[in-house]
Amino acid sequence: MKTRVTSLAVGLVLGGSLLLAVAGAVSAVSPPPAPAGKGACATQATAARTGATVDTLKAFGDCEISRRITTLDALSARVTASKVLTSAHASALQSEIGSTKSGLTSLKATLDAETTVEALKADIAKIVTDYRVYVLVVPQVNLVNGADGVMAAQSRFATVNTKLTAAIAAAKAKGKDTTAAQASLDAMNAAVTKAVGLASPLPEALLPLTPAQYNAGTAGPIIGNARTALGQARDQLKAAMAAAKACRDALKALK
Amino acid sequence: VDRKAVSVAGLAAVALLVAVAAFGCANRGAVQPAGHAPAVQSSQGDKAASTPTPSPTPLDTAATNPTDDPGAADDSLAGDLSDLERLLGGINGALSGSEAGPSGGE
Repeated sequence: MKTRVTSLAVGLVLGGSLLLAVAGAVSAVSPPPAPAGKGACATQATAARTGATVDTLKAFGDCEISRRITTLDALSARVTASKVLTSAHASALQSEIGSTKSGLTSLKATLDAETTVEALKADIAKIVTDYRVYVLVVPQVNLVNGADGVMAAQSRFATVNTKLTAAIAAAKAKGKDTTAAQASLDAMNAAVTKAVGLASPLPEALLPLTPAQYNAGTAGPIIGNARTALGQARDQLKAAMAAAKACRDALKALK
Repeated sequence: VDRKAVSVAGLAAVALLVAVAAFGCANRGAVQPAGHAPAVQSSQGDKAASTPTPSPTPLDTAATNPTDDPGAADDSLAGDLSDLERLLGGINGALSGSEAGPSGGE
């Protein structure tokens, strides 16, 4: 009996260790977060602020460029993976991401070759003002992707409309009262039309925006308005979803 | 005393196994419609369950034959509506991603 109890204890310990090992392996495969956040260069920023030397400023500038390139790579991957972006919009976004990345790479080479604190400070300022990665490029990619998502939803709603219209016609042919179902279907189509009206102008408004326009104060409001419009379009699509479900339920009740 | 305890434990384990097996058989019988022989092997059944390939549904037929039952719209619409839910999720993600400025800087 004692032997069995000992075996059981050993088994439990081994089993537990195996579970822990598996859990450890799973967490080990998860990639660490990319150093793209604002805090990624906190150490270099503190060093540069404490003693602004050629070395500390170079380290800070290189870090700020590096995290922007990480962000741009992630944006590029998102564009590639998107199933809703039109090829023209995807191409325009990739082109912007590519030119921003090559500009920053070139700036890094310039920065690394500087020998004075003044020149380095001027280069570091350009990382922000010449590229506007976080306040311009990131919103452009996301908002254009979202706007194209609304257009993709429109075609899916067209399929839903075809099916529900046929089902309403079938119920009508059987002498059923389809008033409620038809009203819901009309509401769905009206909401989709509103969503498309809100989202369709966004890519053309967003894609041409430049860092210079952002610096001049003209791009910021366009981005803000686009974000608002996309939010409203999303709400219209939610309403369209609810109307589609109401139509389906009304048809079901006619059974 | 030890031997007795071991044999009681062994009997209990066997009884437990038998009970689990019986319960499993009973459940399998319960989900099978009466008088309906399994048309596919279990591996095919698993494959069919995990592959959401759209197959002709009552509403798809209704689209070409308007005399069919309109209440069957549920089956066909489910896929379309879940696709739309996914698209809405993507739009939500795009909206929150567009506000990366505060966390990323300028």
